[in-house]
Amino acid sequence: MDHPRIDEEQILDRYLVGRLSAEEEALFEEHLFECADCLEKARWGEELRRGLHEVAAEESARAAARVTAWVGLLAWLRRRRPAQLGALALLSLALVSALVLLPAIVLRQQVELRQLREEARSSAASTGELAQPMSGFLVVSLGVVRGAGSSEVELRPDPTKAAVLLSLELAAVDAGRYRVTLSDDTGSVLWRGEDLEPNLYDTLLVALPSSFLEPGRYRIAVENLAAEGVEPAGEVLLRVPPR
Amino acid sequence: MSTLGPATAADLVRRIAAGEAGAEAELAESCGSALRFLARRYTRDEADAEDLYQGTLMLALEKIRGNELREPERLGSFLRALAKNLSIQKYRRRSYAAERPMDDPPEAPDRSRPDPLTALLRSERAQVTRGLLAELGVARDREVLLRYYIAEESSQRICADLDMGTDHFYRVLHRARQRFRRLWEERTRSASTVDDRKR
Repeated sequence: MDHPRIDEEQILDRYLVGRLSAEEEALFEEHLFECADCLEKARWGEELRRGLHEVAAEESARAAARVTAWVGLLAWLRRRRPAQLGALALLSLALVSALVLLPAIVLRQQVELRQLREEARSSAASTGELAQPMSGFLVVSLGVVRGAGSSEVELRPDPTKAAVLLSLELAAVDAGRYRVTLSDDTGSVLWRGEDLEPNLYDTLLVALPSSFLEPGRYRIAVENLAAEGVEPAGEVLLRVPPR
Repeated sequence: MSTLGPATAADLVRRIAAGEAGAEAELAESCGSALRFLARRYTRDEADAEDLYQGTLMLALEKIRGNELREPERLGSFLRALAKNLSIQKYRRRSYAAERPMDDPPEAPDRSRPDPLTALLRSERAQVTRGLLAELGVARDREVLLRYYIAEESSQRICADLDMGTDHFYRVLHRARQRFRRLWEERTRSASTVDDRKR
């Protein structure tokens, strides 16, 4: 067999898939003893053909294994009693429900979390001054006096300042927490802060909006929330003159 | 790789028959590659192929020494016919043994599972083939290979389905063979580099 014929009649490719006549095959195989080039081509073609078959066989085996597993499961189910089948059905239903519900719950929680974040963002936006760094406090340092008879302190809130920061220096260092009550001259409680903790300098800090302190008289009562009960820790009397 | 033209073949046969030292080794060298290839193709198993190769070579030498070869210039044809006949005989013996009642001992070990070497080669070949299929950028080229080599459809039908010229079809096959060879050689090279580093 010569090369022009091998090329023209695609002898090599037909040989690899067994599409040559017996006579053609014998001639080509005989040629392989004489031609190193054709032998190399045939060798690699054969390797490729085998490789493709092996890949196809592996894929088929995988598919067959899947089918066998299903058939095995069905056969096993056939051997179960009705009660066992019922229990299995319930278990499967529960499993499927869990598989369906779990993503739904997670999704719902994600939605709620997103809503909460949006609410927090909008709340911060609505109280913009609290969400932003602040400046322009009127800081008033007040000494808390134990017992009655403390002198009145005049306080002139600055309308240009947003808030008044009251620094209440405690008369004595008592461990624990405190309650601060702001009341007007009629005794009505305007504001009460519970469970306040003094800072390192034994001072309680209370910030009030400037608009909160209209002209008039006020009393700031400080009480110690001790374990044995609430004890007065002192007071501050304030007077805000007319503007 | 040595090859065997008609004149060389006739000369080699004459020298083997004359008992010339080294002529038999020359036969194995010049015909070994083609004979091994055919043995693998006939048996489809590495271990069986090696048995067939050895058996064919021994029988061929016996016949040449006994001057039984009528056309010495067609030594390749002779070797091919011997290998084919031996493989058919072996296949028949195996089929016969499989059909024999159980009280007869089996002729050969169980061949339903490949020997370790065959299994290793198959696994490597499958991996290289997967690499080749992944490397083929055009889906149509993959389809050509699978339909031609696995489904064994005719080239005419594949060309008609894919609206492809015959020349292009055979070019795809040719390119695939070349790529496969390159991938295999790269793999062999990298494996030998790893072995060298280990040493």
